[in-house]
Amino acid sequence: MAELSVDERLSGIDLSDWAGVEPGELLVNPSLVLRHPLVEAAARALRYARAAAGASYDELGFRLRAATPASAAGPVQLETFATARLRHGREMRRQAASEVERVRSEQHMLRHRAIDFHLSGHIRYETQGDLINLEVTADDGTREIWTYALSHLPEGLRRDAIERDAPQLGAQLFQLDLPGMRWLPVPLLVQGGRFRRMQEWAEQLETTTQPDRYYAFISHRWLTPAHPDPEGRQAQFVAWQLVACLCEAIRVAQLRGLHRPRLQSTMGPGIGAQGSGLAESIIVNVLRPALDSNSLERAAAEAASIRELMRDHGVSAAAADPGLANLRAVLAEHPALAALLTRISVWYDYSCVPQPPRTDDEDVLFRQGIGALNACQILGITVVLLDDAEDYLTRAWCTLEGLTADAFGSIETLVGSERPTAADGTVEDWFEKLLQDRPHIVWRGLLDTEVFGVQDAQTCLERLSLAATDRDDLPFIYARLRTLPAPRKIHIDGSEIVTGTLPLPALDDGRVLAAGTGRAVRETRSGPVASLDWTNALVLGGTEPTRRRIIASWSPRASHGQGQRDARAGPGHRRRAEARAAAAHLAVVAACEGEAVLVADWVETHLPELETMLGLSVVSMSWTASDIASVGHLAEGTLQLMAVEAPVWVLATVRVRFQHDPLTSAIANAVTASGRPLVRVVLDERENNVEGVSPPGEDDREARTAREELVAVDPGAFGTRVGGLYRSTLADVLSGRRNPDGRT
Amino acid sequence: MAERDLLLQRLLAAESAAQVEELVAANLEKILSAFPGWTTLPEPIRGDPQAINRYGNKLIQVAQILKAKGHPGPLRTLEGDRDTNPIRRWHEVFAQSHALAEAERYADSIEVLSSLLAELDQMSGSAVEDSRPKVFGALGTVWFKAGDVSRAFHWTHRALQACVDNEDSNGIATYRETLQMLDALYLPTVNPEAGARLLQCRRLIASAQAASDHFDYAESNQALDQALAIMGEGDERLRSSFIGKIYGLRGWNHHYLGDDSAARADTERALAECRAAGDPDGVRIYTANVAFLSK
Repeated sequence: MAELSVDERLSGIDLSDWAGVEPGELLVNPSLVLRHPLVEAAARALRYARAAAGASYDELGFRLRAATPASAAGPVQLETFATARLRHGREMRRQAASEVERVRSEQHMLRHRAIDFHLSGHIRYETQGDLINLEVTADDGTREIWTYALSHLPEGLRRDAIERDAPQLGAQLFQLDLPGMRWLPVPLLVQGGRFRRMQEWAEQLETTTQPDRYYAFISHRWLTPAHPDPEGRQAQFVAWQLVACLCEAIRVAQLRGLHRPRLQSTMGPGIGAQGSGLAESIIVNVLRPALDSNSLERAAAEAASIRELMRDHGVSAAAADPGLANLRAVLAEHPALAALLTRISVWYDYSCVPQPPRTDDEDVLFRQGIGALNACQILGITVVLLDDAEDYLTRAWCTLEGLTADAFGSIETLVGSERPTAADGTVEDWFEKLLQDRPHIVWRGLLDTEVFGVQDAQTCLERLSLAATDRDDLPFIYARLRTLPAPRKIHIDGSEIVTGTLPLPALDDGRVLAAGTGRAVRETRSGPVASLDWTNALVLGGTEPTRRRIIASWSPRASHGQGQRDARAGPGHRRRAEARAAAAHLAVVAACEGEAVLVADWVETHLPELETMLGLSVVSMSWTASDIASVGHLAEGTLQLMAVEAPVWVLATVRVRFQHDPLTSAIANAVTASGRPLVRVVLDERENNVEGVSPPGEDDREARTAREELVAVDPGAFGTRVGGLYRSTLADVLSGRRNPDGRT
Repeated sequence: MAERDLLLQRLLAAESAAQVEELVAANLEKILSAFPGWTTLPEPIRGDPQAINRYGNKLIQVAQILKAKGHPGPLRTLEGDRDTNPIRRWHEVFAQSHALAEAERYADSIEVLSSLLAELDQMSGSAVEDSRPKVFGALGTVWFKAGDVSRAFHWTHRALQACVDNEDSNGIATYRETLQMLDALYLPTVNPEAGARLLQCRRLIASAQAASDHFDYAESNQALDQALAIMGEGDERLRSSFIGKIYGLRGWNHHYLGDDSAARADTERALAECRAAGDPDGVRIYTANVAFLSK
């Protein structure tokens, strides 16, 4: 009998009570979702999302989110165009009730503040904007809240702070002379009052980069097909906000010390005097090379004199200054600022690449300029000028620029228009989240096309809602998109849907050992043991699209028959397995099933490299997907637990998952708690990325306490869950709060 | 009788929350070890609904204390499935009311919460007493969003009182703050002049705190002086609400400006004002600040 496809299995789920219910209705009527058992919730959400035939990826994401029960979701679910629109609308209505909004927003500033912190007890914390609230529970059970500004964290809470300066730009580290690469000095922009057609000032553009100068690649949408900025508004907002960031950088450098690094607390947020991402980048790349203590003081005095003008990062001043006459006057009266501004240049397509009509020579230069786009983004920092985030993210060129910047980790945002929801001069939270989540959506579209072959490139771009003014650009854009690696960042939330096979160490009675809390059982890291460049596992790459093998989420290796029996053994087999100490299980953790299949295929092909390096014999492989945006094709769409007997484990995933992903931690914790050695392979690093982890000693008290929270789970009772489970629900099973069948 | 059974008997016999806390603190490891076994109802009480209710409430009380001490496992074990234990269902009701309020369906949200309140009124126990102020507070929030400040006041005040009865210091702080906010919106409607002074004072203090957070301590003190000037001597309502904060923040600013003598003087004044106003958070925090500045 033919095996059922994922869609066929999902179609067996009864959604009759949601028939005809739009996702917006589900959002406002959560009882429709909550009335169903949590263990079925992921399957229902997947079925509901996919019931919209031919839907765009964003629409799938919106339907998925609407069908996710609040009890399964965490605080930061996937942001889609539709959810961003809803939040924007709500915020606009709140802004309209201005007095109420003001009273509400100022309330937390009226709290009493302590200077120092010296209490002991159980401490929980939450950050609230620029504040941190500590809830301290004393031994006698009394609880107190202590509020601090992150800028003024007391010594006791700053003790283990990490130095984390903004990185140097690529232009500081190396030079590239590329034909076609042009940069527009910001003073030239200010003098001109607007972005001019490249040919108008070609002779004044910079053709190379220099160290000690700053380069910002401006990613923006074109407001008309023929001219990106016909009224000069984008020029106003770019120029004023760059000057405002410069002033902010100067002030922060004066408060903190020009050469003192930015600090980050062990709890995550930045602490002490610090600026926006762009300001911090300017400190490192402009102020430190350009200034000494005397010149810093002069610049600080000038910045202080126009501080009121820059209160909202210059957004109001920008809106009121068509042609930039006011900004020219300000800079004329502030020579130190003007001198620093000469070190800053921008790339803006209309002004840096020849525009139509082009001569033959200009056409050549145009093609060279387009060819140098990636290099420009690598050399500088990408700044997204956001006025309409949804429109920006449906422009194919903008998406390519945004994803390229995301791949190299250097992206900041500027406000692109004056609007009430950006009154403080910073981009709205939902726009930022949309920008951060977009790479995940695009990646799934590319995987569907390149790995699963469910659609062609054109359909992929259509389903991603990506368009270009000139449709002939689309094949080029698609070709560039597919060369980008998997998104560097991950999005962690309880609403991730986990599918595939979750491998866990087998116990003698056939159950598996699970670590439910996600807190690390203290391990003894033996440090990097080797280097293994497996970064290509995360790249679609190549010059031609290729189809990958669809590796199953549980794959005993055919050449290791004994290993297969070992891997699924019950009592009695463990001793024989241990006798072959080099037998290993390799577990892959990925962001979605498409990525899992991509990685598993590559890893399986290159396994001999690892086996030879470490003296191992990989007897089985598994992959698990923890998907924040389950909008892509599903190879399996189910979740099972697997008892693994192998005496050695290899866990392969990206660095950020080892650091922050609860699912990866759950596997690693269970392995080390079982007493088995673990090898970590960091897929997105090229060197010193193979790390050995030894289990803690028996007399390790902290490890013993963590082991108290380990649970034995019966994989048979767990079964094969169609549609997988939400990560939060899975965590309940692994911690013993729910039975393996998902019920209590 | 096994030692763990004796311990259970002593817990069941404890008459006050303090006694239970003491027993848990003195026998933490033993209780953690024995707790899973206690979730099975003892045979003698299985036919007695009232005894079962008392037994369950005591276990919840012990589990809550254990959670506060950093051991959440026992409480998680008790929370169970939504169909068999009401606590989880109440969480979902809160989620539903919140979602309805977010969608501006305030009447529906209030109806959901009112139904929950009616259900709680039929029950007793520590979980019920813990939940009731949250429902009152949620009603206050939804009425506020719906624009009815008077009703928001009423329910928030009930939430505060319930937290006072429960000796829930966190809840007290939360609802005092909410009432302060509601006052700022309500007063202008009944007394425009006093309301305008209150709003202006709040604005100045908030901007003073923002200035301090951005290292502008002198500018912050200027804003606080303006707030003091608005306050005057006769406006007791304003004074009791904010005078402690004003002097506390001045003390904070003086410390960061390097004048710890002035810092201590202002902080001691803040402490005295908070004592006079019956502001326990202010007393707690400025006591700590005075101690720090006295080192």
